[in-house]
Amino acid sequence: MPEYNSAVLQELLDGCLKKNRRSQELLYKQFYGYAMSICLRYTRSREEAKEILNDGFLKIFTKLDSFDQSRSFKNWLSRIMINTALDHYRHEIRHDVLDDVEAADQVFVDETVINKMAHEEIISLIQDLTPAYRLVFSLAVIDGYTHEEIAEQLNISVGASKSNLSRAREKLRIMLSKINIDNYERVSR
Amino acid sequence: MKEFPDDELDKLFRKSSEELDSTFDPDDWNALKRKLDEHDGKTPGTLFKKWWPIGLLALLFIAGITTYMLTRDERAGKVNASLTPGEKRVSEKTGQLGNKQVAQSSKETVLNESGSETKSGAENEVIDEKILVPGNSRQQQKEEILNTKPSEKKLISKAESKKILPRRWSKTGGVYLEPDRSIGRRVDGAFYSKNETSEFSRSEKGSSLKEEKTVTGIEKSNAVMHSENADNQLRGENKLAGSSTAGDQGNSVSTADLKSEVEQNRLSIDADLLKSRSFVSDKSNKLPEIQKTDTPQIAEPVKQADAKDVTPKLAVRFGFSPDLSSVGLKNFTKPGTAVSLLIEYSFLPKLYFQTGLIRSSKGYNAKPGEYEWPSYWNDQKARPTSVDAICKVIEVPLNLRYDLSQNDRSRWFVGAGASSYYMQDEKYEYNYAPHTYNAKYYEKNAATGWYWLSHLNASAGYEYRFSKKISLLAEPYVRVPIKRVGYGKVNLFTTGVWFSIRYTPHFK
Repeated sequence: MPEYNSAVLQELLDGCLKKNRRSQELLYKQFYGYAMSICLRYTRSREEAKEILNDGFLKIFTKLDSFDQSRSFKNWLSRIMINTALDHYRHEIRHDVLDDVEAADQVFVDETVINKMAHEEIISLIQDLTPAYRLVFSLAVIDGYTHEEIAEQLNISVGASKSNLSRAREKLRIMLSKINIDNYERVSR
Repeated sequence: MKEFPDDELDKLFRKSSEELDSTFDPDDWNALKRKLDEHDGKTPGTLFKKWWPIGLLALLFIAGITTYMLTRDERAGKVNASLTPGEKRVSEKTGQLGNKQVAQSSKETVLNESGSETKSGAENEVIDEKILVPGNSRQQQKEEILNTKPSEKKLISKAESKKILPRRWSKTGGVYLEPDRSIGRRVDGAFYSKNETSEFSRSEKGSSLKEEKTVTGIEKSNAVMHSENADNQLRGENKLAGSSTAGDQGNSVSTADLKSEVEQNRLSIDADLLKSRSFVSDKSNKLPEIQKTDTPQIAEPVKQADAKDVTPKLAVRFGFSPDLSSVGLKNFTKPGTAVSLLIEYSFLPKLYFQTGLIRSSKGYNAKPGEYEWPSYWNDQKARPTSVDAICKVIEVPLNLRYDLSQNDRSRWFVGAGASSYYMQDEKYEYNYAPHTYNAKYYEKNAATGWYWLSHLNASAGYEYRFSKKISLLAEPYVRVPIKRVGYGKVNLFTTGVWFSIRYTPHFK
């Protein structure tokens, strides 16, 4: 048995295979935070993230027999959550219009302010991106997908994927600088 | 303040994503639990949806058995009503009595409709003994007699009252004394004396002579006595007197007195009573003719009814079946359900035409070679590795059914024909290989409509008749495709077993 699938996890997975509700609940609790952090990056709101989270877990519980237990369960879960989010994106937003990035030649960000920001606030910036930017940024920067893979997943060209990533970064910088400005104004009052 | 380079920006968001730990919300688990329950079919709604046909069939089954039981009771009642009273009573009792009871039943006295009475000689003694009736029990018996149905008025059953039942049935020390229901209801109270006395069993012979005599005196004081009873009584009194003399020398009542008293009573019989229509003069000591309980008379009306119902023309069937569907006789998945409402019409003996509606939920899995991809899929290079489908189908069968063999209650049959499918609701889910990124189509809902005579049907079954109208059937069947059906144009093979209830209406 691989190291990353502990004996406890193995026991939980065995219980889940038998459709034991208690085992399912424990597995759900154990990976709730991890799965939610993935879902939040791919959605606009927490409610939407919850929906994807539960859809993803439903797939996990119903298709657990197809999981290769010689591999990492966490990676499998991550893959399922991302795919569920992408399915959701495909169903909900077929024709996403790319926002024009505001003209911002240079954006300056105060690191001290950023360091004080909670992780949730930072992730919420990703949520504020348009779906196309959000997905490309999350897939490329956080989940490590290549532009070729992203292009295939989202049925776009590699160039469009690169462009979207670049624009997503610009957008995030602008949002961070806005936070700096707001913070500065609040302190100066 | 400094410019934020790409790698730092990425690092910031990557770190936040890794370190973000959302707190567990129990509501989220509850929401998922509900989804899991729905998926596993554990909610009341899904349980009902899954099991209602079986429940309905079970109810119909119970109703069928109940109907059968009730109609059987009614038939038995009719048969009994068609018998003569003597036959009826004998038929009722012969099955219940043991040898001893049968021997006693030979003593029974039957009053036929003309008023004649037959009586065994042995009974005379019994009657003599039974004249001695305590007042309380007599009163109760009178009430019981008066409460009995008028239809039983013509029946005189002394043997019935004399039958010694097992001790556990008895309320009075192993002897159950049922009141005579005949004479008391058709004539005046005078005849109760005779009948009521019959309620006594021999077990009371041993009661004290003094008491007997006293009671006998009460009886006689009624002064309304059947002449036959008087004779019997006289004989009985003599007997009793004899036993009294032997048993109790010091008894103040002499045999001579008793005889004279009985004689006096005998002479004082009311003349009106002699004119009574129920007065019985013809007395014989013959045993009742048990042989009269010939069953042909019983069975005759039933047989006539059966003969009338042998070939009912029209029948209605409601059925439930598991629906096992597949493409290409393999990869059977979780069975769906099918319910049917069919009409059968017999246009030749043993041959039925059958049609109606069948609604089924067919779940199947199709492989790429078995499923025809739509033309607009050309812009997608990736192809699913399999397709999971759940289709709601309305089927119209046109079948012929032939009865191979038939007994009174059961029959074996075979059926064949063709079916038309109406694809009412089709849901397809496309499964791709892992890491298939350029797939655009993951599911499809469709309703492609009619496919006329798309399948051939064959079946064989067994039918068991519970009553004239209700029968149950078990019928394995197959549906073999002769046309491709559905959005994916698949050769859909179906098999299952119909569990049906068949109703045969009787038109007058």
